[in-house]
Amino acid sequence: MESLDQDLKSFTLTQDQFVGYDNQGWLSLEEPEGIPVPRNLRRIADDPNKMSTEHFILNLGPCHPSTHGVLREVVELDGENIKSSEAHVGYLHRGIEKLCENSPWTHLAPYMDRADYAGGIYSETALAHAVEELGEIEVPDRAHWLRALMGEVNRMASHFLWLGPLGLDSGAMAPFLYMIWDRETLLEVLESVTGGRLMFNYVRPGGVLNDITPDAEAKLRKWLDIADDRMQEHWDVLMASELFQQRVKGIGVVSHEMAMSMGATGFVGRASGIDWDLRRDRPYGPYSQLDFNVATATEGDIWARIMVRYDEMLNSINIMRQLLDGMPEGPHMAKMPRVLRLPKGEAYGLVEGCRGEIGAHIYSDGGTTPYRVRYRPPIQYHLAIADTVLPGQMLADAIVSLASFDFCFGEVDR
Amino acid sequence: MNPWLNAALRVLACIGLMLLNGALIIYMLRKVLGHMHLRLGPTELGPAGIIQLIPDVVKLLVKEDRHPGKTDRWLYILAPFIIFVPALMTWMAIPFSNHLMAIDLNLGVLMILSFLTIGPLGVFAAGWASHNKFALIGAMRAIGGAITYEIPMVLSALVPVMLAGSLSLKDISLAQAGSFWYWLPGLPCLVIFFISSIMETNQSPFDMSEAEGELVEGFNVEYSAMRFGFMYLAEFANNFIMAAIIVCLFFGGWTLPFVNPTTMGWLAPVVFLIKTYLVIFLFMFVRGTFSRYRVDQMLALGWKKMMPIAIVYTALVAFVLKVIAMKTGGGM
Amino acid sequence: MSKKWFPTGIFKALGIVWKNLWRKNIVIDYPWEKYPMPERARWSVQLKYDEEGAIKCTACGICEKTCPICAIQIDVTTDPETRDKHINHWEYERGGCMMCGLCVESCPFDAIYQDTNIELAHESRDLIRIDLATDVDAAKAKRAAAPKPAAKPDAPKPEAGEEKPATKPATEEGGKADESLA
Repeated sequence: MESLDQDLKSFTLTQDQFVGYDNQGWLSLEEPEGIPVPRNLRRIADDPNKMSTEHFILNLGPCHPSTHGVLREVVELDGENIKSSEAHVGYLHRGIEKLCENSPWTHLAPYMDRADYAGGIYSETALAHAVEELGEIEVPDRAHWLRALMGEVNRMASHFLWLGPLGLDSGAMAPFLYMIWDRETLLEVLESVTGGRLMFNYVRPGGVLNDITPDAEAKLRKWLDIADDRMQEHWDVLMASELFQQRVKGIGVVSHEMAMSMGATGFVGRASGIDWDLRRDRPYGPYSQLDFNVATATEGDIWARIMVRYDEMLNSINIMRQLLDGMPEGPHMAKMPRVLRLPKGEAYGLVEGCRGEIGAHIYSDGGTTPYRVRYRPPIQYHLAIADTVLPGQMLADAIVSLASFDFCFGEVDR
Repeated sequence: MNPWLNAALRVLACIGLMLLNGALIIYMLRKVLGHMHLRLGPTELGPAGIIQLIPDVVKLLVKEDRHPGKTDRWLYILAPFIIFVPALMTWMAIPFSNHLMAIDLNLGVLMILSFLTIGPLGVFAAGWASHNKFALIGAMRAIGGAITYEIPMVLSALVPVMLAGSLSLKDISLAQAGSFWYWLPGLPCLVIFFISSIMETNQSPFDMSEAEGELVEGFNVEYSAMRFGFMYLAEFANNFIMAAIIVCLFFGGWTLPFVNPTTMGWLAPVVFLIKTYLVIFLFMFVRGTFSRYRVDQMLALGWKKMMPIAIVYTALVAFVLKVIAMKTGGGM
Repeated sequence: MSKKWFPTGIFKALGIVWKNLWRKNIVIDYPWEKYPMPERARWSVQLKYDEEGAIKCTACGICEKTCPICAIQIDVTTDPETRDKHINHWEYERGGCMMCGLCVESCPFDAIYQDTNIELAHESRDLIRIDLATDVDAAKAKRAAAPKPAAKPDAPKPEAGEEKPATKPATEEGGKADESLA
């Protein structure tokens, strides 16, 4: 199978065909026997007239501890400097979109959870929006507010899972564990409301599965009381430290043009000056009634992304307070038929997820199951951007800038 | 006593101390880092998990000694010992009290600093012999870092040496007994020496050669079982040595203010160990808090900041001492 | 990027870590103390039993069809004359179950629930695929369907032989199914 595309090998190789990615031996660009050198790697030739060092190829991942899931980043290194890089995806491919075609419209939420496994509420909501649009289902107000509330809780939890490991990748151990403490509180809230800590299966077409419990509300309010102090503490322990700042300032710069042309959304786009937040610009649910800011930055480096997201977290706390206070009464689920049949047609639901614009494009042929579901993962676009900004950085910076894009490979590989 | 037996006993005592210190630091590391991170650390075996180490060592001993295929066989086997033996040798010159030391060397500072220089060579040997790209990058970083921190370290160690007028750690400690400890006159040197010590012991803000974020485990990524254990032990031994040197050079060794340093008896080693482990606690405190330097930032810190400050301050102290010596009529 | 000549931030960070060093640990010493699971937590699927200890499952097979990953397989023998169903094996693949809870929601007879026991690790592979019920007669659909309106209130009734009450999603979904049928 020599003609098999290298990128597809990870999908198709069975265990006995799998050669492995050997970081032993293979110290030059010469192709050793049996071990495939990535074809698409943009090998930078050295100027033969200059004295130079030999380049070598390093596999970062798929089981490298710092690539956040199963990203395999093949980098060509000149000493510590990255000359070219190539991201390989597909190690977590489960065929979610295809599996969706066999499930009833109301049973798609578990698959959506497993796409963006750190921010499941949002992918569920995106799909629910699409189904509701196509089926013209009237959703109760309270359901919208509950979706937004759980979404913001999930956003906070997801952001903690990004900021902590970002510190961990740059070497700071303590902030990670302090943030995990807060994340744990939020996950307990999510668990007591939805029944799951990561895989919620909560947002359904027509509403949400469960109403919020008084216990969970009390727990969330208790956390919101200390949230500002906790955020200040996280700031002081990680971002205030000059050692961390010198690792992130001016590194991994995504220019405005690159962000625009490569489809950056969410915090990556906002950090590069794309002032676009679906919660504000195309409000859905209760967001038109809420008061919050959207921070943007123009630098586009890791520090800008951290600033944008830190501000997003502070706003999220604010939004949660408003949502808890202004929660309307009423049912949490619309009256739904036992078996949902959608008319023929297509619909696109989109929300501002944890990592950017999450979209679900559904296509119905009039039956009880989707004809096609397409999930728009924001991270896949960001991965392309990350791959572009890696060359020119040092190896240590590459890890931090990869971490700063907050990859979630359930989303990319689906 | 038979001089051979005497010498053998002294070496054995050093090995014993080194192992004991390893045990203590591992426990301390787990507990201190654990509590800093709001974790518990080991709790199960023994009260507060103090005998957790024993099963750990047993695990290291009985683990399969995996030998990766493409390694440079002899260098791979030798490298842990190149790291381990110099770390052991440095224990010889540490004065725990007026009498309690393996050898009363006139050139204690020199001997320790020169043996510590061999450590990075072992790291390089391990990284090169592993024939792994992560290990190789780690090894290269170790060599690059070694040149960076050793010059400022030696220069800043010179200030207490000049102040005491001796290269023997015991004499330097004794010289601080009557007067100030040298941390005050040598404050910039203390800071530089402290930072260099963290670099030397491969700890977190400067753990270039094993940066687990980017290099997985760096130079020891291909090592397992007791070979890895040796490297681990050497790291902890270095940790203690650097803390002990800091205590000897800047905090008066085993001496206390207003106490006659020669008649402290059993109190002397206790005071010395308490001081040393406080410094080790500081290492861990820094280790658990900060994010790592990038390798070029570390080199820049070493060459552009620490080195000039060390040179200037050493020259300044030498000048001032010479002036004082001329005023008082004595020669240096 | 303004450059300060003295890094004050690192001392701030040290201060926070120092504060946390003396803070009470937040970690639960797991095997000895356990985190109280919320009532709605969804873990492995269990069968419900009625007051007489008989199974409530009617072997209708809806959960089997609903399960996205076929973790439930019910081996049923139907009596050709009386149409009574006999459950030979009610097989449940614990290792494959993704605990989405769709089977519990779709069950029209409120016959299964998800317990909150998180300790699902087993020493043997045989315990991963288990029989929840072996060789029992399935409940008749009418008998199980009759007390269903009583199950609608929020307070779940205690089940005989089970320490956990029925989970809330099940009752609500049961209520929802009611409305949609009406």
